[in-house]
Amino acid sequence: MPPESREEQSHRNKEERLAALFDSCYPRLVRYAYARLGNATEAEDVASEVFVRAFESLDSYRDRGVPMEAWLFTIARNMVIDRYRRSTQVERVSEDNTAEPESRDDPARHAEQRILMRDVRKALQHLTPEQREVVTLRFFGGLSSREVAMVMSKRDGAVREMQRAAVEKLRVLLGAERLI
Amino acid sequence: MSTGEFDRVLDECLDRMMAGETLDSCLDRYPQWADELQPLLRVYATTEKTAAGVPSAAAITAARMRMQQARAAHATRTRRSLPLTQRIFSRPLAFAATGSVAVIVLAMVLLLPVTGGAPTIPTSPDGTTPTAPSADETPTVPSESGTPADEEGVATSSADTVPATPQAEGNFVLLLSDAPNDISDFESLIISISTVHLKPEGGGPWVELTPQVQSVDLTRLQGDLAVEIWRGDVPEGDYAGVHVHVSSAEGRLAATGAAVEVSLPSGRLQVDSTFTVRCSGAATHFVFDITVHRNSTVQKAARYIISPQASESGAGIHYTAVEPHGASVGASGPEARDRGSPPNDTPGPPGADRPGKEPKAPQSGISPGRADIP
Repeated sequence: MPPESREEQSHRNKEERLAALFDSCYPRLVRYAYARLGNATEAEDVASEVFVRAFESLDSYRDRGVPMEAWLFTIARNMVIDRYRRSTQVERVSEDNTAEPESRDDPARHAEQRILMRDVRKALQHLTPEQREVVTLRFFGGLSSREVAMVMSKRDGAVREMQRAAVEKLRVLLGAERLI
Repeated sequence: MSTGEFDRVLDECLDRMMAGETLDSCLDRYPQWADELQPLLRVYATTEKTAAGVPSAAAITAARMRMQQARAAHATRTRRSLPLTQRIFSRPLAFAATGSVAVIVLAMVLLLPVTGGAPTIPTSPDGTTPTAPSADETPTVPSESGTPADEEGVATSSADTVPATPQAEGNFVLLLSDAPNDISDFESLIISISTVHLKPEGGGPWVELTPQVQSVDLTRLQGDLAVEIWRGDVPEGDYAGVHVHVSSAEGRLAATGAAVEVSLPSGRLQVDSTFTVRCSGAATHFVFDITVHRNSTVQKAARYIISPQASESGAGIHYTAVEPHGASVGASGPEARDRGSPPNDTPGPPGADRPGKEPKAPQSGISPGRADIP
């Protein structure tokens, strides 16, 4: 059997690497999209669509530069931004379309969780768009600051600085609400 | 300590906490900065607790399937973009099989004058001689002994799709319907369908249908009402799903008359339901049910998403046929499953010229709607 050409091997390797990221990345993409969109169904749809779009443009992905994981979050970020642009709503999450995870076994804990989520979301709205992006990619998407820098086309140091400023602002906001 | 240095330490502690290390453990690593670090790390601990959006098992399964389809499509595209020689030699079995057939045919041609006999052409049981399909005949691709499938179970032949032929008396009928959910919010919800693909079971080229009716108002298709959007001949065989490609969705709210955004995130509706199409006997009627969901309890702030209703879709679903313009024309469809609302009719008798064809008797109780076809 003739060996695969280098081009074929490269295509196959990229396909395999991308497919292998599904288990670890899909839940994180959902969490990130949920933090930005505030709607569980939309978040799941965005995360699912990220992989479809990634395969559609896999040929344009180069191994050098941005790691594949960060590339997926770049696609997700662009999709979230597109949805905001298409939507007439401003970039905020209202209580109306916020779906919280169910915890029917413990209503008190569920209520507490709802209040906490509402206050954290409210606090996130007080950050600058870039600070909010850093926090959601980092805390909800689980990316490293270096990966966040790649997604946002920033320097690592700039991202760490935005992260510290964002966390300090959140500390004040959440501290005022006696949440920390 | 410089700000940059502190930023780096904070970043490292956050990484450690994300990896499962405790806040106290992080503070122990940097006792000299513990006072500054502690409140900031508590912010992370609090925020992280609100990280909702854990996907459901069903969502994960659906997303994985979509990814696998996208992967298969990418593999097919990639193969088609490779040079012909590379494509041939990367499939040694297919190459060997094709080569063997060519050698046998060549040997027969060469040996024919030597043996002096004419080749015996097999005949069918009724004594007629089978003829090779002409180029313009619809290929019967997804037969049980169809084209080999790759590891993903998706066709890897040179063509992704084969077009199906619309026919007045075809062996396949595709209908659209609408499950209740939030359709009552709308005065009209018109969706435009560009193409439909039928997925063959076990691989092979997908069958592409261009709908004869391309715009449909879903508000006219509630309950068991369904409109026929395509009828014609498709290759005989087993199928594993139907994909409907929606080019636009325009909704108008009943309460205000205002236009409202209706999104279909991927532009495609997909139902994975197995069905069989035969060349003889009754035509297969496949009802594709589309539904619309509101994502908020507050209507004025609502956004709507359309999606397929798999449980209400499939072949053998009972329905009441309506004309594209909204007038009902009769009932049809085998009653393998009922669509919830009690049928006000029974499946009609077979058509005069083809079993399974709907009777065209007018149906009362449905008001004619405005034209849905441009």
